Amino acid sequence: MWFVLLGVALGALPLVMRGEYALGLAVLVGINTIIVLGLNLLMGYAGQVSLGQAAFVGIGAYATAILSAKLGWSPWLGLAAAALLGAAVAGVVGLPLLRLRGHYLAMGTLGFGIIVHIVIVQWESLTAGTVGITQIPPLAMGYVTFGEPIRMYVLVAAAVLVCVVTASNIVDSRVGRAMRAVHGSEVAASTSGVDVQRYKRQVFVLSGALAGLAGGLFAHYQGYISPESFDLSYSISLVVMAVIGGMASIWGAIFGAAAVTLINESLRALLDYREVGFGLLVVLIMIFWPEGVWRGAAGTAERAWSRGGMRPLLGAVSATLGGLAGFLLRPTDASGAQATFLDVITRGATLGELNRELAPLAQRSFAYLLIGVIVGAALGVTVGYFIDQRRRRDVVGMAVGRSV
Amino acid sequence: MSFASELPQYVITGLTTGSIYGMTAIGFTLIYNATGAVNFAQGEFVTYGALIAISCVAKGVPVGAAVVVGMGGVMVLAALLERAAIRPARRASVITLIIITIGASMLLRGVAANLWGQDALPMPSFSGDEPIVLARRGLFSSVSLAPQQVWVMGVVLVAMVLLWVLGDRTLVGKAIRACAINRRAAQLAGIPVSRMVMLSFALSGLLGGLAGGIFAPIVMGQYNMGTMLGLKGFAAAILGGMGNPVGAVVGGLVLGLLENLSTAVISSGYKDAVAFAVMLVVLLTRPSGLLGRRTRTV
Repeated sequence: MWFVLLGVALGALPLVMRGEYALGLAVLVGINTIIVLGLNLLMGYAGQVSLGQAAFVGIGAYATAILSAKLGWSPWLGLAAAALLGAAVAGVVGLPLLRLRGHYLAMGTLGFGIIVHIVIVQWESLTAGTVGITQIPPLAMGYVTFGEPIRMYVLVAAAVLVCVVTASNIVDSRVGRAMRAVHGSEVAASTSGVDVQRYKRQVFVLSGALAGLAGGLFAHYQGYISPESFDLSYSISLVVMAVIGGMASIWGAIFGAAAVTLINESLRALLDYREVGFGLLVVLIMIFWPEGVWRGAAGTAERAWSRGGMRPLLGAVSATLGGLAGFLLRPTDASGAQATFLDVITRGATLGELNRELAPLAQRSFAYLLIGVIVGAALGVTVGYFIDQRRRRDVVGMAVGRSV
Repeated sequence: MSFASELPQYVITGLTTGSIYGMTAIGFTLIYNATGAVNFAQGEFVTYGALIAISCVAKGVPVGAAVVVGMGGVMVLAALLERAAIRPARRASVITLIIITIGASMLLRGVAANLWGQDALPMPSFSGDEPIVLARRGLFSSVSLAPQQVWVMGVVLVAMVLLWVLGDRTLVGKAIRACAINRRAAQLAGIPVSRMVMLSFALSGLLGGLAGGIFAPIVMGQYNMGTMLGLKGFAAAILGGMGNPVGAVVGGLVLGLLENLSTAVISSGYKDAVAFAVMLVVLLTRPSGLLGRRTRTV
């Protein structure tokens, strides 16, 4: 049932966000979501860490790029090959790697990811090295070419929907229960008759397939690929997406992918401070909300409610909304045309224009964000205060009125 | 054959780089023994040690003092990291701790890029650049040592000895080892474990800062010099046996040697991959490493 809602939301999105920039972002979020879904299953449900997921994405991307751009295969076959190759490599590599646990598995996958990245860069006869592969044909079906953001968005949204439904079915199936048993305790699971190694491998292979598929979609969307998109920092971003959303949760995967992709994009306005901001955010979230933003925020909200009533909650909510409003509604044009960022997203502007506008207004965007947050917080706390007073009066009134 | 005559040169470079890997690996090991966590920000300690020393030299401070200032700075940084990021999350899961230290390393790298820019900055060698030729003729005639390489190997050797003295002959050192062996037992023996943990971090920072200071004249200081170094240091720690300080140094030296010698066989572009390939082989065949004997009980 939830998937119907998801489908509706995904379908309605392009009605609200019409710009190429916004839709392009949405496509990226979708692609990341597919990868993070697999990662989420692996890390959240089966409890295995993978710091090298970008390798599978890269393998998928290069597979389809080489097949379609260099060998002239149909992009759809290339896409299928991408997913299959991702799965195959995961299967082969997972055999030895998944015997490791904890930090060792993390480092093993990390090492694997780095090695794949270096191989991609060095194996120039196959991958053209750092130059990358260009002129990758877009996917096409009959007369429809999935080249522009809006069309690619439809394709990616459909893919995301399919993956979400599949993942959800897996989680609720016997396989999913076995995986959760493995996560809970490998020893207990194996004594209950669960073939631990087999399930770990299966999840790993699935995550490799999803990553490969996403890599293929990425290659056909962007039209060119280069090794720097598939390096260690991308692997780390993916893990951060999975963890921030909350690990054993499918919605968490969507949320995490969206949140991190969007944060990364907005932090671009910070220019040089981007990595600082991202690192700080990651550290803070992992310290205070290690179970993910959803559950963490829900827990904090509950504690705030029981201790302070409406004020902190309302204050926080309206602060967030205020900040968002400030960020979106700030003028984008320094000279005169008073378009707001919101206008840009809904009316549509090319990425080039936006880049030119984002850079000089870096400080201004965050000033507006800050003002929005402060005004929102003040408003929320005040309103919350009055609501609390009312509640207290009502409670007292009830006590006085009803007491015989 | 040219390889045979070049062999000693490869060995020297390998041992130099390997010494730095070893220092970084010991830093990892110290923190791993104290907290069970892998510190992905270890490489950033090296970076900051190098960059702080370079800034001091630029202001006219003599090189030796600059390195010491760098060490001190990183020591404070490491303690801060422990307090701010590790302490609040000490009961968290493996993956959470990993991500916290990864986030911290991103943060530190970004700050370094802002404070020192993105260019590589040079640092003068401690005692000049006149190469020391090992022999006038014969097998070793083409072999020469850069003075800084001697400094690196020498300082690391001295540091190892001092560490051994610390761990074996001083109360503080023994207390730290006790915490690594069995945290609960150490607490019951009256050792303030949380303070020892912070000390381990500080010590690890000291070593990292020193490594940065002595290595910078050879490779130049840059905001991202520590990232690969840290990862390879971790590979070295695994190679030598995670949790074993002696293993860490041995692992570092072996890794440095293997990495450098491999360039004779395969294209140098793959050099970075060698360290991780070796690590993977170790992880998959003998996870306890070369000298594997973990001193940490859960």
